[in-house]
Amino acid sequence: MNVDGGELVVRALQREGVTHLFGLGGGHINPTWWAAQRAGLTLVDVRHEAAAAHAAEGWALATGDTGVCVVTAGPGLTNAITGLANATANGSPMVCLAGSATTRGQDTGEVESLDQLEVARPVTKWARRVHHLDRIPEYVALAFREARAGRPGAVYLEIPIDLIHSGIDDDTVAVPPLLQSQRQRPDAALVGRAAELLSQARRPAIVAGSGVWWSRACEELRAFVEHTGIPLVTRQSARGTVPDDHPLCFGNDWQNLVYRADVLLVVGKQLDYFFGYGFFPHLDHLIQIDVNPAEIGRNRVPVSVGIVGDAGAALSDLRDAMKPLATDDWLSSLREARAAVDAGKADLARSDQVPLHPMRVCAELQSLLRRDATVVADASNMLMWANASLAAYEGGRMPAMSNLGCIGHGVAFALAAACARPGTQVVWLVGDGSFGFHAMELDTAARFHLPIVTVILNNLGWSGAWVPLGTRHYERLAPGFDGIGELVERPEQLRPALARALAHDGPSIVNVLVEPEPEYFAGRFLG
Amino acid sequence: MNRELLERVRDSLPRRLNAGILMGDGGFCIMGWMLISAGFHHITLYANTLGVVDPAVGGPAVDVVARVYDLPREAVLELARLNDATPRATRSEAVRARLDELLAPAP
Repeated sequence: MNVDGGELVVRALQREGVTHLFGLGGGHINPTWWAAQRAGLTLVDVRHEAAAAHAAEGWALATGDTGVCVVTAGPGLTNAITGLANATANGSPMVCLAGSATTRGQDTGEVESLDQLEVARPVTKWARRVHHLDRIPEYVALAFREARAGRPGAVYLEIPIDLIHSGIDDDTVAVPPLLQSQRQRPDAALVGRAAELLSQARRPAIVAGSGVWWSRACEELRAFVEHTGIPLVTRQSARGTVPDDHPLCFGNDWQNLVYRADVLLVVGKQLDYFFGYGFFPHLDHLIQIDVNPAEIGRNRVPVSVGIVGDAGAALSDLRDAMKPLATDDWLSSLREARAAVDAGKADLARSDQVPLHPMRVCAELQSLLRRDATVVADASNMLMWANASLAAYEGGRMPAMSNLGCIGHGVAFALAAACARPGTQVVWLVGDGSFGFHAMELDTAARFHLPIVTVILNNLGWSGAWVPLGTRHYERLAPGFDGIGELVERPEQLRPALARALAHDGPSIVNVLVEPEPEYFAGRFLG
Repeated sequence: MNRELLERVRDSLPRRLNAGILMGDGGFCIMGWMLISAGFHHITLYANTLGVVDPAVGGPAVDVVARVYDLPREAVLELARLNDATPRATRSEAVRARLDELLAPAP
């Protein structure tokens, strides 16, 4: 049977288990687009390629699988670059398939011609061009393997327009074997040493990071903490892998745990900006587990034991090597400290101030959400309130923001989560500044009947270096996208407005006017 | 004590201090203001008044402030607790008064 390059791409994607593609059509990728439609894949066509790339990452964050975006040549790729950079910074597996100009047309002024590989390389972990039609299945398979090898990230594969439109007899195309998922087991001696140090600790603690999510190690993590009695916090993509209301889980308040601990086990968490760069001189021992050797002791942090291996396999082996620990007193002191912080938060959550305190908004929202709800808290200052207020009960329900510092892309994460889990609540919590970046994706939500609730914490400007944006009625956009819009100016309006939005079968916008200089809660650890 | 640095903190104190956040929507707590005033601009921006993450000179925030300002650790702790425990409306004045006491010449 004679097939074109697009057909080969889609068959390869189906072998990898892909069901959803995020993209924006264009002449350079039409064969892939048409083949995906013939094959019955869900093609979520967005309004800007940045959203396509962000949504592909969002799919990975929501499901644990590798996300895929398809973008056209030239500006299609350059628009997607921020999404690729974010996924790589976040360690999220995604594949970007791009069209490109003809090989022969290079330097002729051909439309959408650009040295795309050189553009993609710095923001991906692997970037290739397919030069021969019969090698498409091989390169697609390689792309998926590279996206998940070691620390996951974005990979890039481009196929020139002249190649993808040409035909080939599919009997002549070799298909590579599918790689079975497998776990890299850690060194037994190092596991034994880690078990010894944790067993001798007076105040052992665990910080679980994204590596737990990508390893699909929720069960192993939970089994380990329940066996040993060691308290933990979950960070970034590990949020919810052990529910926040588990007796040994202290949410994501890593500072109050880490600064009180004497021996710390860090599993699949980069020693980065979000984690004090791992610099904790008060610790007696820091034990680190990571699938990527380069992460062990990053930033010249002294590590007592550095275990290279899959998070799930390492936690399973470590559990077998340890006996239950006597942590009751240690847990009591942590719960006491948490109660002090919670009291401070509760005061703010009850605030009747006008404009509203952001903690009040987050607390009211939390009280209306089901346990399987997804809340995408966009980045910037707003994230601080979300982290302090919102609970995670299941993995993939609170997609991680990366240290790249993107803002506004949360709507794409929300789109992906809504596609992955139809019928569940999906909320995009965002500031008024960030809302403007990708607000048009609410049209995508409308077209695909995705009832995303957008809650805008509107402080009337950009917070960092104060730049006023003024009072804008963002809620009035909602009716244009088959949604309902709510303006909340007073505390008593908040709960009914959120409830109406959550009950609506379509995208909705709740525009909440909040205090530009809100009071923070006390209760921090001072030593 | 590093008098010059401490005077700079007192004389540049924001009109209002927050109750624990270092930087973001609501500005600084006294710990954050003392760290920024001492040149720690590359510290964690969001919600971290607990530690300074510079591998060379960092550590728990209380220890870093005590070292840089050459103040007793207890005095720094007291200042931080005063910041957190004082209501917003009077927080800045309360902290300024305590800084005045610290800077007053010994009898």
